Amino acid sequence: MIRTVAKVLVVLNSENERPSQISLAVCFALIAGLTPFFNLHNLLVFLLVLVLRVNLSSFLLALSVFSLIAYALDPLFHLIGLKVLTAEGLRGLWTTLYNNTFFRLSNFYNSIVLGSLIFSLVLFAPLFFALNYGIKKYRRHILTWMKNTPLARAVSGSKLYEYYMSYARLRSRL
Amino acid sequence: MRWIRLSGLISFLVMAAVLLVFWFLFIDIFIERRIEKTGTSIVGAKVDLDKADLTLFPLGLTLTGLQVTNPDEPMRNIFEVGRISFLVDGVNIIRKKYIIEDMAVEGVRINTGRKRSGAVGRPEKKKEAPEDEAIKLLTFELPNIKEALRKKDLQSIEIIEATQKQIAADRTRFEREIKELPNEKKIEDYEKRIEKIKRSRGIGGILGGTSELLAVKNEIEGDLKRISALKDELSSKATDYRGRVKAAAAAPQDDVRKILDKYSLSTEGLSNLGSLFIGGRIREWVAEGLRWRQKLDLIVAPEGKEKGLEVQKTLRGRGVDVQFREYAPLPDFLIRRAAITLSIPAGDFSGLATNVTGDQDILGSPMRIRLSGERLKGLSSALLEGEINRVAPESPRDLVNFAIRQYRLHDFMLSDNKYVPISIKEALADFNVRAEIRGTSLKADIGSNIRSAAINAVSKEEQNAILDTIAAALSNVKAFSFNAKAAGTIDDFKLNISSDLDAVLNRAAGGVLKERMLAFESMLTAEIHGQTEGPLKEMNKDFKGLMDVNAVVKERFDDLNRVLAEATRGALPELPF
Repeated sequence: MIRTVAKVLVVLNSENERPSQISLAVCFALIAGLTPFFNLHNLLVFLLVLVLRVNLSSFLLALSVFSLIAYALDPLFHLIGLKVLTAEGLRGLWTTLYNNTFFRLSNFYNSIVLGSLIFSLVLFAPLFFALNYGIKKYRRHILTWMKNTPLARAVSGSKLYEYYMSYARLRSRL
Repeated sequence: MRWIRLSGLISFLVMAAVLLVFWFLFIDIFIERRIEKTGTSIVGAKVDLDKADLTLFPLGLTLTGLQVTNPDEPMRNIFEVGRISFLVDGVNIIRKKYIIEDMAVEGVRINTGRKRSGAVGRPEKKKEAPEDEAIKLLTFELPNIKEALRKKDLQSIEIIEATQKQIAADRTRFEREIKELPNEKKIEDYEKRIEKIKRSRGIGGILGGTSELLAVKNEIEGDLKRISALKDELSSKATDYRGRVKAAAAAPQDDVRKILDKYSLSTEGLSNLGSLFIGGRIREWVAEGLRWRQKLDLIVAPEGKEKGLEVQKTLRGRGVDVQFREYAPLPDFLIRRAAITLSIPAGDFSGLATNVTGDQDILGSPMRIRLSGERLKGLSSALLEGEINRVAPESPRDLVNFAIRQYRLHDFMLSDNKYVPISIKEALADFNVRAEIRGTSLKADIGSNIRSAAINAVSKEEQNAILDTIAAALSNVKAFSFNAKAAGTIDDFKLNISSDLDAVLNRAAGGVLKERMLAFESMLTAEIHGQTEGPLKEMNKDFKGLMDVNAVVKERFDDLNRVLAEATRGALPELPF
């Protein structure tokens, strides 16, 4: 866990990793973490996480955090899901999907599955843009300020830091 | 390509393949454990499975070595199945519909031994059947009268005390109310006033007397109205209480009758001695049948469903599954046809179970089972037919028909009562069972003819002449038949048994037992009457008090009416025109 957190910090501070790669990873984790794990849509989420060049460490860390939050939010998901599934106007749609084998496999008719999926999909885009904005701000202001502190300067100017960075560069090529 | 990671796609495929292999390697164990766990919870005793084998192409399952423990005898299995194999409709399984068109159930054996106990939890304590209690009487150890009169059984005291309390309360109330009514002194006062008016002379006196008379009349009428209301109420109460006092006085005798019935000590009971011995075993059979029906109900009874939208509650934290109307409804689970081969030492039975499902209302057909065997060793023929009908869930109906011809009984325990246990060493028996359950009402007919019998009956009580006589009479029986009718509800049914053993035992011991029954009845009557005598006296005393109040009110009413008549008749001089 500590290793993952460290990796996320490295990625956050790295100029090579684009903010959107981190934000998208967190947003995918939002879906996979908040919705019940063994469901068809999560297979697609994992496929996208592996195929798209999103940051895996951020995804794993966010997945753990959102999975914990999900337990507390289950009653809310149940309420949302049940309300939507029992809405008179949507009954025709749900009945059609219910009679389709693929959608039946997706467990959409479970109140928590649908409730949490709607919740996470609604939050997906706002969270993506908010995180992008936040990471950019962090790198521009906080990271630049931290790099200019006397302690950071002393560390980055030391021989030990120079050797460590050379080793890290060489190792990353392996 | 900046956003695409090809290595990720390969990783995904590798991970999926690893998971599939892992699933395929362990799915058999998972299914095995699941069947054992579910089966154990249904039966209430251990269900063991040797092996489960899932095949993917075609999708099917084979179970071998299924053992179902008998919850009442944990070292024995109710049945063992050698092999169960079936194919599942693969497309429907994706829709969570487990549809099995054909199932083969082979090598079924019943009542087999177990190496290890299959008990789960504590076994249920066997209740003593009423027949067993009645057999106690044959030992000449009369049941303890005090024990027989447990307070909850003695309703007469409760009835008498309740009636007495109500009468006493009403009596007190009426006595209080009567004090507020015009008493004898006031009636006398009215009479004096009327007398005085009568004596008035002269025009002035007559005119004054007229107005005074009107005032007296109004007062009397007012009083009469009050007394009349009280009189009516008292009269209605008196009628009601008269009936209740009569019923309460008869209650002790009702208690005597109820207790005698409980111990099957009616006169009919005495002419039904054979049934005492057979009844326990038949009651066990009926109860066992009902227990199995209850277990089967877990498989075939539909869950609470409504038309259209339907919500199925699941465990907390897992949400609820909302079900919608299906265009082509199918049961969630269905075995359309299961061919069964049953092996017993006498030979093989074959049969068929059809439409095994918990959604008979969707399927529109009931579950049926038919097992039969012919020309078997020590058995001419056997047939079991059953129907479990939940097509209309609100009016369930179950039927069973079971017939055995020329079954060779060997060491069969007919009655394991502790006084005269009866076993049939050898005999040829025919059995017929027909039972029907509609909703909760039960109707069953059990009949048997037993011939060429060697019966072993030994009295366990030392030096008990009556039990020795009964045992000897039973041991000499070579053939007998019985017929039992069970009727009532599945929770509370009555057995009505007739058997030609009745006549045999009645001849042997009927006279002595009748004397004994009369002695018990007389002791019981004396004890109950002794206990109810005091409360009855109290009740009668209060009732008499209430009747006295009634008489007083009636007397006052009559007196006032007389005075009123006097006031309106001849108190004033008649007018000439």
